[in-house]
Amino acid sequence: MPAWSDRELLTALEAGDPRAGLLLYDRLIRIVEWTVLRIMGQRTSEHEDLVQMAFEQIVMTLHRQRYAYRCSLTSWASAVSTHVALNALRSQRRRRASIAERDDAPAEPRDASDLESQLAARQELERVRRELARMNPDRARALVLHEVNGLELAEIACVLGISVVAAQSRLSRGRRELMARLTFESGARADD
Amino acid sequence: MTDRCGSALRQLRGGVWPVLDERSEQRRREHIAARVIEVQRRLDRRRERGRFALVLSLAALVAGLGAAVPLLQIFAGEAEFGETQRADLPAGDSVQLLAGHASVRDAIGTPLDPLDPGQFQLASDAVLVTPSDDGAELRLWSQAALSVAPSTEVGIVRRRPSLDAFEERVRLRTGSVALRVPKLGTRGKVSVQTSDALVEVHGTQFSVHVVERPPLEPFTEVDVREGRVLVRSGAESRFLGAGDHWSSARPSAATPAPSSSDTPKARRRRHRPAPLATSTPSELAAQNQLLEDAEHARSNGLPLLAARHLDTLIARYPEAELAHNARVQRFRLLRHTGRDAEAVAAAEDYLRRYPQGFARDEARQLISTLSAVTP
Repeated sequence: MPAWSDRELLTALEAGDPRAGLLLYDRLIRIVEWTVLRIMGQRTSEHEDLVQMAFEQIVMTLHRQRYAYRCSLTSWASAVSTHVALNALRSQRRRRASIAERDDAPAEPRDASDLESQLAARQELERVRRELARMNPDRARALVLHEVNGLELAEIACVLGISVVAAQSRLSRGRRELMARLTFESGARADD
Repeated sequence: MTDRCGSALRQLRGGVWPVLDERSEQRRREHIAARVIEVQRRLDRRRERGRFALVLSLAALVAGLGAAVPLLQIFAGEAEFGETQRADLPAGDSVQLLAGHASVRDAIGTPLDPLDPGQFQLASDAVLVTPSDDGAELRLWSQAALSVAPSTEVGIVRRRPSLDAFEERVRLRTGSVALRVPKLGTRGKVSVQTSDALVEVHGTQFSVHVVERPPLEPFTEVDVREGRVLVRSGAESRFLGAGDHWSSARPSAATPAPSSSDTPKARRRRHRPAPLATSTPSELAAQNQLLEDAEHARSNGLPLLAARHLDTLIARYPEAELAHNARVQRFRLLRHTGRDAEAVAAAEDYLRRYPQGFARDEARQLISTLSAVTP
């Protein structure tokens, strides 16, 4: 396989070079798959569909010339995958998918003494995902890109097509909203 | 709170995910790669169909207009004139001189008086000429910002291929122009034509330069700062993206040329919305507004207009705190626009006024550098 730069790869893709499909997969599969797994929390039955959907979305956004080489292709793919996975998470929540359905959950240590804390941590993660699915989509996307995928503010601004100030604002509002939601839910549960 | 939220989210990074076995992974790789190519081809086909449909609808529109116009003329009692619609419309009062100096030469070459700032009429066969020591900044009918370099000759023609579409074309005879074109949608188009190239744009920032190096034939150079442009030259036709440089002397040379003006900071400045023309409740607000206007003009590729705003600020509030900043920005601006002698004079003026100013070292360096090369 040729060692193409991002620009060369996208030019080849635009020209319909069949090698471009394989190269695009090799370059982006890691970030796409990780993003989907981290947000969904499990390799669900629809995982493969989400990965494919993310790749299709990436090609479509490239075709519409939304990607202007201002950030790396990987960051761009990270943003698109985040968008796809958060949408899936929201629709999954709407369908009220059963949490108990997780046969393929992340592997965990089997030490019995840690079971309780592991369970609490798992529940906490589930709450974070649930609130991410409920909160303002733009803020949720900025939060995931920064805290989960590790993108810098400038990169977030670039991939979302907003200013750095706007990215910073979304991030801080997103943190506040998520914290308020988590705190509110903890309080409500304590009251129960 | 922020830390707690961040740590809660960072937990999502953790987890050990089962990996696909090698065979499944290979199958998925081939499947998605094939799907990627298929989607790309489908989008290409859709784009082609869209273009075809557009051509068909335009043809239908033109045919419909062709039938409708004579009928309208009969009803309006104007059929006897029998004059068909001209493709080149007079520019009317659509061109505005924002800053700098320029004059207009009519079709037979008669020089006219220098233009005053504001709107003016420019016939489609007239030529706008800038003097050798100053450029001009114009706002076209399409709201495109046109920066005309010194010793440049341009004509401006507006065409209406259909009722709701327009094309504004800058005919560059000699010298250089730089344009910042707003988003015009699919119905509007701005282009620059030279003797050997046509550069078409829809929403971008770029410059075109006619290079004259006798005994070689004049050739054209294009630099794109933002967006995409389509360059047509002879049989060649190609898209240029941000940072690309093209020359008709080397038809295949479209190479990325990183520009200092294309940094993320510069891009953020360019995307800043236009300052509103609000009333000035205080002198400080007025000074701030002038500084902001200058910065906005500069980041939109209108350095002469930026200098004009800085001059206004300095003239109105010579002793103000912000006049200090304005003087610094002024000598920087003059230097960046290649007006070395004026830059040196501005830096000297700055040092006289602010011998302990924050930019004193920069001003001294500018003077020593430019004095060495300026005759």
